[in-house]
Amino acid sequence: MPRISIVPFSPSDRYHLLLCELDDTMFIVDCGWPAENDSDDAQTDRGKQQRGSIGSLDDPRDALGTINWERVDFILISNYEQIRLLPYITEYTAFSGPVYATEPTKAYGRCVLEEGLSAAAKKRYSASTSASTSRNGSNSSNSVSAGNNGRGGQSQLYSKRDIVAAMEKITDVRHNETVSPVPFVQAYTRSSGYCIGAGNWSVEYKGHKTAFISTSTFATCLHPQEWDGKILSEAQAIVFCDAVDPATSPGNDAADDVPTASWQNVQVSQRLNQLCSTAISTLKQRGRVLLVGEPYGVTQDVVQLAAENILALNLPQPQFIFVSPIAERTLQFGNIMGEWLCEGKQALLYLPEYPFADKELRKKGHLHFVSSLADLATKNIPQGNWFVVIPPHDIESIDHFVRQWHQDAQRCSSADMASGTGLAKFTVLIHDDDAARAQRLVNRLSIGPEVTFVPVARRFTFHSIEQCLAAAERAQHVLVPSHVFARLESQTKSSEFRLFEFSYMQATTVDLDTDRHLPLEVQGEMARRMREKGKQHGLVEGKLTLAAGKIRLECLDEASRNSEDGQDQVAGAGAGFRVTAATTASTTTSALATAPALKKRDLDRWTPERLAEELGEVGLKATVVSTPSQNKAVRVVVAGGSATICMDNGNGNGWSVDCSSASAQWTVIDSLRRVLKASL
Amino acid sequence: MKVVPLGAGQDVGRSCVLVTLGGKTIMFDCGMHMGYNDERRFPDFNFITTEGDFTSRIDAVVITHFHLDHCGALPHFTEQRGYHGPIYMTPPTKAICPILLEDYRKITVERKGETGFFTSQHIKDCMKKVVPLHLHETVWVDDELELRAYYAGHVLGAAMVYARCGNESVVYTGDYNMTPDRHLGAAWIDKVRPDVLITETTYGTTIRDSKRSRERDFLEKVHSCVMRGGKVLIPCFALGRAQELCILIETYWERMGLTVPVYFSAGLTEKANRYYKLFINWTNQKVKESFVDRNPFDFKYIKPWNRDYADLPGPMVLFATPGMLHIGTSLEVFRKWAPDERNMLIMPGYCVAGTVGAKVLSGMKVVDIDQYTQVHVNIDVQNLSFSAHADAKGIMELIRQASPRNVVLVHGEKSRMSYLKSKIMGEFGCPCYDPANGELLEIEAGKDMRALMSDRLFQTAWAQEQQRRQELAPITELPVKGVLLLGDSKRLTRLLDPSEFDLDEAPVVASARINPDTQDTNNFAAAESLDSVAADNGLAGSDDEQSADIRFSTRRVFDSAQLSERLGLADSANVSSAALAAICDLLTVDPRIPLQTNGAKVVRLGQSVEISVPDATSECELPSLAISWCWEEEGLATQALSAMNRVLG
Repeated sequence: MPRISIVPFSPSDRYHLLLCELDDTMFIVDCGWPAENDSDDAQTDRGKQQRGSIGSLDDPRDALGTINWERVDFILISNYEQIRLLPYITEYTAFSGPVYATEPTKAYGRCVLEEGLSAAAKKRYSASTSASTSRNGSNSSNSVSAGNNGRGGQSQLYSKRDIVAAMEKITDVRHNETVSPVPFVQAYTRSSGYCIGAGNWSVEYKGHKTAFISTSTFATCLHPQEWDGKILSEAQAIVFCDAVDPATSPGNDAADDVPTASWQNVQVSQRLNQLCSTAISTLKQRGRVLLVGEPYGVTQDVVQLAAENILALNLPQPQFIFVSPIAERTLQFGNIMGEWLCEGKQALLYLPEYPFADKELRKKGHLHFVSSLADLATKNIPQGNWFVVIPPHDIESIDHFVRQWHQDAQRCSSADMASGTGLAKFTVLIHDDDAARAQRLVNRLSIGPEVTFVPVARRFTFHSIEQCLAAAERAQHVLVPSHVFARLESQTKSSEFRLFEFSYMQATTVDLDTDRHLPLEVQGEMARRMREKGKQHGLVEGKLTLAAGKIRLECLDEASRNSEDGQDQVAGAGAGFRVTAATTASTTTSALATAPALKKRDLDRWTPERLAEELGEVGLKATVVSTPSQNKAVRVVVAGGSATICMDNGNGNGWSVDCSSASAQWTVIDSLRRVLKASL
Repeated sequence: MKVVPLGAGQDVGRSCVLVTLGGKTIMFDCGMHMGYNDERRFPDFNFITTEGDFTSRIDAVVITHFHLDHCGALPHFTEQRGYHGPIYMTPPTKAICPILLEDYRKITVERKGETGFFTSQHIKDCMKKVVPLHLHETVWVDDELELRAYYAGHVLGAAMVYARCGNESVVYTGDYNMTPDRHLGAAWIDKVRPDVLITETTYGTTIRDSKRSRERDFLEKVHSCVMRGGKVLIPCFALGRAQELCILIETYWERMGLTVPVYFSAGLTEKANRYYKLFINWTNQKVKESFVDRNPFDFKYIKPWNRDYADLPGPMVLFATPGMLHIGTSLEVFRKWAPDERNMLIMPGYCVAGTVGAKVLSGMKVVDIDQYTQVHVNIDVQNLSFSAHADAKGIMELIRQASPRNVVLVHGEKSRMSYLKSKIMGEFGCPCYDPANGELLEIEAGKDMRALMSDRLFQTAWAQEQQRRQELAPITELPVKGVLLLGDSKRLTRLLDPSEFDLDEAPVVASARINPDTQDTNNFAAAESLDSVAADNGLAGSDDEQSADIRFSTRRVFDSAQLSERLGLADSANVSSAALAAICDLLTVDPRIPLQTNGAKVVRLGQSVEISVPDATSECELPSLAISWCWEEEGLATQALSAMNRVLG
């Protein structure tokens, strides 16, 4: 019975790294790990609880060190948020297998990693400079500098060059493209709706599909390709890698009541609109907007919506400024990856229109990219109402803008305020769905009324999982994180499947009850010949070719086989493969006598030792034994039985072969024949 | 499996190949012929059915790329002939196809005044039915028919299509290019081993020199012509070759600091280039990498064409559509520029026979453009094959990659095909066909059977292979030895490890006739011992040389309680004897098996096969039957064994 075992390696509920084992095949699903700046001052609750027992979580090397990387066959990446440890794994461990991800995951993933790297570098720099001066009383700088002095922070796990090298190793796939990392395992992704190119992997093993539901969303109002529910209906086992921990999730108390998918969509679109209308109303008053968000994902939707509204309302076009070294690339990628976008945006491709507004903004000179604050100083950007986008980790830049704009607002005369000519007003928008992170940010900034925090929570909650399970027609086993398990357990008692929980660093093993047979293609020729001979079964010899994810049995070529084992084969196997023994059909006795006549002197040449040796050469376990009657005999042990070949059956003219079971006899007879033939 | 080319059979133009596999029919491409202006322009759909119900006859239409000779008849087929089934195209094809169709429609209807041609609305309606087909993605048309697209590199969005239904599979290449060019990558396909590979053969006999030298040649010719004050006319499709040549000219102009104006005809330019910008993912890696800094399709030197420019003096370069000089701007400009010997005409693509382009290329000095106009051709005519088709080497390479069992050649001239045909048959030893239009080709697909393989067998073979290998190269082939068990309507064929094989699983052979008349139940007086039987047989064939024998014996243990229940025996009955009798009954079914029963203890078949009830005193106390046979009668013995297994369960 095949079994799957799953060990989650990441302490966070948002980022995952699962080590899975399907019988002898080992693979990793996702390489997520909380970014350093997330983890250092506020580990998630679960992480904290387990910290004591497992050891330091600051260094993922501790966790990854327990994996035997040489045995890991392949890695599947679901989306670009779950990629943080990939460069470390490909560059600094013994892992050498393939890595699969979609093309946008690869392209964006590189940006995300590089951003993370530069953010960490900046942070380290500022931490080391501020270490001697004032500390905000928080322990954040402490832990970072400690990390620096001690074992080195997570950011030092790899360099920029490693990121490039790791990305080169990714094999890009499309949704629904079947890949076969090892011959008996096939995998494909289906869209998860979470971000561009995000997918959920399904691994098929012996006709048994296991779906890994990574970060997903039902929301359809965002730009990525929509959630594809087929993944659930096809799978026999479902692993939910990701679900919002109710304890840490922000403001979805309402979610407890209304669990439908359309509701989630409505909620997300409402929140997007809320963000957008706040921005628009500020811009209307000639104010400035600071959007805190990575230059990808939901930010793209907010900017898009804002740009559309500005155009529709005929407002003066603000200057869009992205403060990030990677923003230019991520926005550009959006425009060339149209096929990975939602239906509405895909339709634009055929017009042809650019799926995002940034192309138009850029053309008109309203879009600016600066890699940092210092870079901003060198750029000549028209003053006026600005729409600035800064990633949340870049607290200094955010801080700078907020302080600057505060000053502007204070300096603004009351007349200006009244007429709305000065830059009196500004708004800070935060859409991060990680409430803890957003809270930290707000704390750091010490700003009040200007902040609008509207978390665009789109990840699966346990309600979503419940709903998924309703669609999972064939599911027999469902694995969920432990924090969801408790809530789900009571509600799914009557269901057809068995529910399992998995928790951090604990292996969960599930037995899959399926046929232990691999799908195979047999060369038609083989079967045809067997049919011609009226046979229903027979011992065949051939070669398996593994290509394009399929296993195929082919006849051996006569020539190649002869050169391989140098043995002449049984007569009548002209086509190059053998069908011997075993006929259940009616054939005449004469036709049955395929074996050539043996002469006494042929047999006399054999000694038990020689026979044992020769049988050993053809792959049998043969030993010389003494029988009770003091005759030498050869004992052959094969799977499923044994056989004794008595070299002298008592009357001096033959051998006798006594097999203990029918299954043993196949192997023995065949090998014996081969050995004898070779000697004739 | 049936293959019928409705167009492009031993011909170039109006590609349309109908393939029936596993009971499903797919139409690959639905193109038009540029050389004709009558009904021969479209494929002859009457081959499918004369009743006009195409939707029930055809399960899917697949368009490989946007060239009109591959998609030109599609609106006609769907809107005017009434096909309503699904149509598959890659997204770039879906995007660009309607533009070219519309462009062509305008020329035919509005300039030539033809009637009965499809309308703009037809094109739009037709495109609504199109389902996008992404590269490598497996698309299920219905429960059985599966499609997969592979990169073909011929033009933006060109694809080769693999289709499978049941045990039959086919690859239709469309047009493809095995060498990467300025903006596109090379075609590539998995080793999918289709039953039939249908390949284009446009350049089937030529082996082309390196692309680089052709590019240099092209640029030098253009340069020399503009230096002498001539005008260069380059007729080409608005999309595809044009973009490649534009990139070439653009970089050359920049490097050489040239100021001679370069124009691009057709209002499509901006729109066409935008498609290239949007679908940059479908170009090659180099283009993709540079796009963030500057999209290579944002041309700096190339400006849109105005009809008035044709009469301007001075040198210029013009890219004009269409590529075969049969109509439109390129033909109009050609008429004006052809008489001047300073000018140059560069034909970068292929010209269908019958078009002005083909006539000019063949060296005709006076060309009839229409009924009333003749043009004297003094212009310097150059033919540089930039056409992105695979050459003979490329075609062979693709066949090697895909490893098909049969090859069908289409989209090429007959004379060239026969050469290629012999070459393919010689090199790959697989049958190769070149059917004419409307010729039904029935190919007996060397069907692969779907089967299941025992995991144990695979794991053993895999482990052995891994041990055997020294280097770490991935294993793609491994020898295996197992018992193949043919399936029937209920069960799939299985390949088992010999140890797992149980003869009982073998289905009863249908050919075994029941013939009670020939039951011979010769009774022997006494049971002979095994040894004496062996001795008899050993002596039986004694000639000059003493023949020896190997005697096999096997014990078959069975569950007596279960068996007696199955056979419906009374409690007191001897189960072993009853089992033997049952086996005997089974074997007597076949009259050709010489059978002797010796009492209740031994059954003899043929010369040496003997089934007996062993003495209870022997080492095994469990109820069992013993069977022994000699080397020579193994076949008979296995038959007996299977009967035994059937009885004993």
